[in-house]
Amino acid sequence: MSENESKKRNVVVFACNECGQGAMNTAGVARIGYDTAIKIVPLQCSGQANPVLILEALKDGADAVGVVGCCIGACHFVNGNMLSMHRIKLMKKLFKELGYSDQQINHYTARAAEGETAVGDFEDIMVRLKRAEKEGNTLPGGW
Amino acid sequence: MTEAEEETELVQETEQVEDAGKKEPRIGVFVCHCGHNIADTVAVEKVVEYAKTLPNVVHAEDYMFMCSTPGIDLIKKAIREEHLDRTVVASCSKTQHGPTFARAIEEEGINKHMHQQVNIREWCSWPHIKDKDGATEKAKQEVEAGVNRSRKLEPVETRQISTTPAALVIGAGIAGLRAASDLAALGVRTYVVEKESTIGGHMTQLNKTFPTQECPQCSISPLTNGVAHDKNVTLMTMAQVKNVEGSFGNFKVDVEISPRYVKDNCTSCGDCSAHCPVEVPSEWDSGMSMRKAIYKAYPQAIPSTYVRDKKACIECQTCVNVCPAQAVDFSQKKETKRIEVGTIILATGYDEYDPSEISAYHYHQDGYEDVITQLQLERLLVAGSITNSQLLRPSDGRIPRRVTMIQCVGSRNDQVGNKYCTGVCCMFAIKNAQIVKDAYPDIDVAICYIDIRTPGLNNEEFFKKAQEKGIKFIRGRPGEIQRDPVSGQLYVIVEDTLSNTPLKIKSDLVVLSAAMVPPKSIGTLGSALQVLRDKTGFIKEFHIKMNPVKSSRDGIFLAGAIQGPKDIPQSVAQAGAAASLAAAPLVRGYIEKEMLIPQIDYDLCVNCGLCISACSPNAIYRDAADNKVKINEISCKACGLCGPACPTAAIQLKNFRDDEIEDEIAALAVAPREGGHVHE
Amino acid sequence: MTTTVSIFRFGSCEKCFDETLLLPTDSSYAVDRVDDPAVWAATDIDVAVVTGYLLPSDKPTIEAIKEHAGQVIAFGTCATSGGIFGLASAKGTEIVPLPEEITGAVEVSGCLGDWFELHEAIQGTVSKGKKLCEACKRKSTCKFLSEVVRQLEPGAGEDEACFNDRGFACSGYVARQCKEKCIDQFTPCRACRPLVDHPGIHMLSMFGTLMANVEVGTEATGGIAGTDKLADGPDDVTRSVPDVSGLFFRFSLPVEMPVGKVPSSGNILSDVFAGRPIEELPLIAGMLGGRSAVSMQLDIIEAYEQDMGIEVPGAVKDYRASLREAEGQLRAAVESADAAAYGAATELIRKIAGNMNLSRVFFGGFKAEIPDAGSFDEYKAKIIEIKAGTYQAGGVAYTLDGEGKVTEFTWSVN
Repeated sequence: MSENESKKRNVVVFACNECGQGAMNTAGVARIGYDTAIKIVPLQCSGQANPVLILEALKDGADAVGVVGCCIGACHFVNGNMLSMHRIKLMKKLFKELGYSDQQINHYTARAAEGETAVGDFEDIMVRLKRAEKEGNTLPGGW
Repeated sequence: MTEAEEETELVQETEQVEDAGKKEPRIGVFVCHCGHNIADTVAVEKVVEYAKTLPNVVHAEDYMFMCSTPGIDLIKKAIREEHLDRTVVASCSKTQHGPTFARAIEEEGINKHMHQQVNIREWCSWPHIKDKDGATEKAKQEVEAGVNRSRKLEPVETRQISTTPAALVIGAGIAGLRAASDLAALGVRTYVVEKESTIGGHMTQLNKTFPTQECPQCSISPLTNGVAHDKNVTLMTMAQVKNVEGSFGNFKVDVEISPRYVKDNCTSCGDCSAHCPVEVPSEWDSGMSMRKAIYKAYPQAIPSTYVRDKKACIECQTCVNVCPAQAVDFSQKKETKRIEVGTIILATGYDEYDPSEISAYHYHQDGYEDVITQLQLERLLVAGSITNSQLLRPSDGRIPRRVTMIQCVGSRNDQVGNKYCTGVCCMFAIKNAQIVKDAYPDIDVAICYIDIRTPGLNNEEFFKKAQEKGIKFIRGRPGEIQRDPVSGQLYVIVEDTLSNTPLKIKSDLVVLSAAMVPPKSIGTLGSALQVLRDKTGFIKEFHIKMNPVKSSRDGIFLAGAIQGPKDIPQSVAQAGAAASLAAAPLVRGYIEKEMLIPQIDYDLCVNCGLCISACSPNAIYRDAADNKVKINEISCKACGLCGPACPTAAIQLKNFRDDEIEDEIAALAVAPREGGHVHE
Repeated sequence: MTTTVSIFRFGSCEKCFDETLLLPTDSSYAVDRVDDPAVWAATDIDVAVVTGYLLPSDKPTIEAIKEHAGQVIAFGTCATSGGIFGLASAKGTEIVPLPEEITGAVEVSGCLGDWFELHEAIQGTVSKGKKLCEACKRKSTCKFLSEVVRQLEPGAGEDEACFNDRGFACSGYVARQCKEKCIDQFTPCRACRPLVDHPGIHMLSMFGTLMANVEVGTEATGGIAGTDKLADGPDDVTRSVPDVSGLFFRFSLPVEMPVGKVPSSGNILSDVFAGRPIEELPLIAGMLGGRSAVSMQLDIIEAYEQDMGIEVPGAVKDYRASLREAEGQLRAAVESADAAAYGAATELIRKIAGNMNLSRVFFGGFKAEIPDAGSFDEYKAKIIEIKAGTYQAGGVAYTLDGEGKVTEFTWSVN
């Protein structure tokens, strides 16, 4: 296995109480496999995902951070998912302005009844992370 | 439990809160095998060994099935023997067994919020069957994250809040009346607020109801009379809800009552109306006839009294002079009443879609007086109508020889009107077509449709009967209604898509089956109630499948067409459900609310107000007295949206504070190591 | 015994160092001004006042200061967090905030630092200052925004609403009031005195939430997912904030984010300007121009006005001439360490330009009324167009891209 493949990664994924964790539970029940790099942090709503926490995760050494909320229009708390999207979009721009990849963070959506939506999101995170690692412009951990 | 016992429990909980701040936490970690489900993939003993190295973990063990009785007993034993003050169970999902363990520790006297559930099954052993080492390392990280999180947890009080023993029903149509009647029967003091001068809503405007062709006035009369005279009901007509304060269990509602200009001693003799010189189109009759400036909506109206239309009135004072009871009083003013209720039912119904928007149908245009809606047709045919129940054309008063109905006007349309299917128009068009055909067998009746939708018992049979009576069904959506400029003859232009034949149907009367749309007033009312609307404008239910009766706001329930187009039996059924849900907390006398709420550090708060905008249930407000930002503890849903909105992190949700989640993240961002990680 | 105070001039625009000329000479302490810290003969001192930003090459001097000073005060935002020069850290320059090197250092932040606060700090009293929003007369409702604007038209009667409510980002929410009070010059605060430890990321989070109704681009997550995620590429959100790091992290980039990897121009000043939007340039020049702030700022403005054919009223020309003259007086005063002359020159600058950041000066005129100056409409500032191109005047030459952001910047002192 190449170094890239065998490397032990830690990806912090914030998941909302409704569709985020719901889809992840459904994925587990269906035994859909994904990378052990994915570590889930339960939140009440994806709109609770604070950029301060996302940066802390990266500073602590996380290789990537994802936020998984309900589908657009279906947020249990009205528009929490949209609020998170706005903030993460600005963070991605910040990273780009500093010359770093903007692919290490993203906001995703999932459907509680469909486990593959969460797993698809996880796979997207890993694909983008590995691409950023290859391009050599990932954020340094622990700044 | 007795009041004394309740008091003691509250005191104990308070002591727990204080104690939790002083002592070092004593955490117990329990790792479940879940039979083969976890243990075959995750090396649970290694996870337990790792947990033992973590600070504040005074007890760690594994067991086959933590959720079983012996498993629960192990937890309880450890609590008692090791003086644990919080627990971490690493097993399945929080939804599955979180409550099981929470209940167990509560039985041992620990606040149930001191339990932290860690999912190493759905989130670890099951998706990582192929990577046992990776899964074990991840499980260690997850348990450490749970332990870190557990360290700073605080007990959360479950408070009982007593409710105001009264309910408000907004809207006195069939749904509102049914809800009010059911509430009154449960002994609940019920306020009914109706903006029109009479109760009964659209149902009382109808001629007949499908599929049995019964008279709706007769069906609804026991209800209108019953509600109007029920000792538990306070009926307010000419009234609108202007403002709602408070929260579930204790709402304060401002109701604005418009003046009738007619006093309570009115005997309903009708002399005022008879002598009034002013005539305007009757809204009740859907514009099919005229009424006076001082009028009663219709003869059987309840309340049985008159009302003066100030805008139309020319103030000649004839009514004042002729009234034998001297009941006409021009000096009456608008008044605002404040009522206090525990729950609210919103039942403001629907409006009929206005087809003027569809220019090709020429509704309301000169020369097209014979293009009417189904509601207007009902008003022509009803007993005591302007035509004495005869089917006469508005233009020349003659009986039409050809009646063409057009379905889906304002429904199922991507260009104008609405995308949805109203779902009731097929039935009421078929009903009216049969009524016309039964009364006038020589009239040619045709219905232009896209699909005929008649679900439910008896309705398909109703449709078949219509076909047997010779009513024609043409599958095609008419492109326009044409008018011969010389003769004035109307033609419906439609393609019969079953035979691919373009048709030009000569029609003497065209009846449009217009959609049911949200009532015009729902914008302001919805905002006053702070309930969500969906993009069609109807009020959004709490859950599209599992709770169509609750609104997005706790304590406000929905009944009838306001939650989406529906027919009378559906409205009545939903109204009963709404009454039951609205009555429950009032009959019980209290609601229970977990005080999982944010706290605000006023040293950091800059009073920007963004948390107020971000708060999804509108549970944050500025206190008028000191202008400080404060939390409504009852309305708060613990969603945490306020946190990231705050520029200074002044507002922090209990048990979900930034520092608590940072502790959790610290364990997940890097590989596990003995002694764990401390967040700097 | 008199307290010995040494004031160090590290790399910076020097205005904080110059401002210490105003410290009273008749107080309980004696001041020694260290123009070149690198050659400082390390002696024991009671109080060391550090001004200017620190580079890794300054660490040995800082060690010496730590060893020999009883108390260390970081004066001015450059010392406390790298100041506006911290923006160069995006281009690979490591800027070292003093508090990270010396724990227990007293922080008197501000761009410009308040000399009176320094005076009190030397004598042992440290005040934190009011929250900016308490000092600001505007009221905020923070209703969600559908639109973010890059400029606002100054005018009478519009001063009640918070800038943010009008879609014009102001970092006052994460700031404490400083002496310069840009908000009184119709200029949004950029948080030179932070209220919280990480003002940049907090302000990003807050403003990102506030602009909730601006459209954000989404796209389908392919593969088995079948759901939506954030789209790559520009959308209304990114177009609304053309310079995230320069706006929210203007004074705190080295504190909050790792050193960046954008190629450097080789010159720290140019590195700070590159990436900044045109409408922020006057204020930035005022903040980092120091003894040349006026000429730099006016050259930037006049270069643009010439190219875009913006006519400037006579009154404005007169005021600008007076400003340039005042700058000449300031330079002379500083060269001869003449406190009285310095005081007079800065008073004149403050009168015309509003404060030492020259916040009042803008393209076409002034953003807020100059006291006793007659009708404001005559010399109100212009709302400018965003146009790509190269602009040159006096000692300044800069190039803007299609979004109106600086790609190249050079400055030569005349």
